[in-house]
Amino acid sequence: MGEKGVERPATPYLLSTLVMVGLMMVIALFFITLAAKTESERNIIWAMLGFAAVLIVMMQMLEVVKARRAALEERKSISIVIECQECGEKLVRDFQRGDYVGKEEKCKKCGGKAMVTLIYSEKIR
Amino acid sequence: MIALMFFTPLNERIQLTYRMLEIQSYLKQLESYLTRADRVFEEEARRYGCSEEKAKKALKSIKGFFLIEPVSMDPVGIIKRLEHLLKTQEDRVDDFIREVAVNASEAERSNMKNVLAANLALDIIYRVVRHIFLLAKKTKNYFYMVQLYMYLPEIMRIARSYFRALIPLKEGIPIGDSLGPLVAFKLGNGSKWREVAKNVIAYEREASGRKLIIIKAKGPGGEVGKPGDAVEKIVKEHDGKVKMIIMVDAAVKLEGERTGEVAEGIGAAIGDPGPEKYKIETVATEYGIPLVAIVVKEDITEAITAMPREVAEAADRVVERILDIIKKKTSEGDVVIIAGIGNTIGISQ
Repeated sequence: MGEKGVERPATPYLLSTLVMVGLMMVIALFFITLAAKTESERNIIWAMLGFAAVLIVMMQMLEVVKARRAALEERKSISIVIECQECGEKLVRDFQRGDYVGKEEKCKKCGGKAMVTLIYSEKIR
Repeated sequence: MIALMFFTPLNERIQLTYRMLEIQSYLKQLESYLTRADRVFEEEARRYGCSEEKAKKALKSIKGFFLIEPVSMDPVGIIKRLEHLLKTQEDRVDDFIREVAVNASEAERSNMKNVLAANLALDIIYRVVRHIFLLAKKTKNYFYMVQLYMYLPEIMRIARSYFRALIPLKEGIPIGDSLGPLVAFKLGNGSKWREVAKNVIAYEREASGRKLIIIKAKGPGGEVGKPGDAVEKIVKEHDGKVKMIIMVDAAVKLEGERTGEVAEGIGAAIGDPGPEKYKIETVATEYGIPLVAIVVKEDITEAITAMPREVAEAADRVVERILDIIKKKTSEGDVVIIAGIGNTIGISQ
């Protein structure tokens, strides 16, 4: 059973990227209009700005990918172990609502008395 | 420009705006956790015969439920007073759940109580974070915002843990904290049991010629019971002639420690607000009974969400260790109490 209803964490990265790029634009415009005297100086500032913006966007996208990968790794399955008290057969199956440790079931192999002995979660690989 | 950035509050304002945007997005995430938690509770209430409108109204009425701790300026009798308040709180919550989940069984009602507890925890986290955020915004105080920003990763980790706990609690899946009851079940399964205190059962069996009395909360609903009352009662029933009390619980691990690591120590291994631990320590001191603690390490998320395989498998190692301690430290004919402490959700007797 997967953990239904577990929400992937929302990431604030896209919003912060926009803010950072916006701030850089404002600073660059300030330099372009007041500090740069020649066309070539302006071009250099624009090129630097473009390079920095691409770098920031790439870094933030990497963060988004990392967060999504982490969320996927957190997905878990719940399994239960049923042990037959007569033939010793062990069966592992997915958890279903209503299962609990100590619940008595019928052994699928010999039809004898079996019991749920363990319920645990595992990461889905 | 550089002077403007460094020697005026402009730099601080830019950072404040930037941090505020980030905190706001975390706050939205907390709000979405809470909305989902509300929905889970309402769906459960509907499942047990409550109308949607009644469930919504009831949940709204219990939001912000609080307990005022007893006055500590005069500490005399503070444990009794705290116990009384905790009992009143428990009764109030029991009544509330009985009203909402009309057709639920005893175990299902216990599980719903746990769902409500997770919901209320998320509610208080959201309220506190929102309070600091709005206060910082209102006063434009950079330091409020920075403090909140620094604590946010840990706050979000705790909130995420409560959020992920909702499904296991709702469906009755054993959680990491159920380690103690699981060990008790493994030790006592097949033996006769009786209810010795409110929601606490005791098995009796023999091992290597010693009489073992194993206690755990009554399952399979999400209960912790009153193990303090149970230990006190059993010790008094045996006129204090108990050789040892062994307590088993889950403990929060330090970063870097392995999940499922077993550690042994001395003292009452129980994480209650105080009264149960106090009763166990008092009765052990009164009769000079050694208190042995065995814990299994796990982090906070693992403690309140579905039990990880590493913790479940550690239960067998704990059983072996207990039997080994009993063989080495006690003699034939001795009485030993073993208390499996924790939430017994998904574990019967």
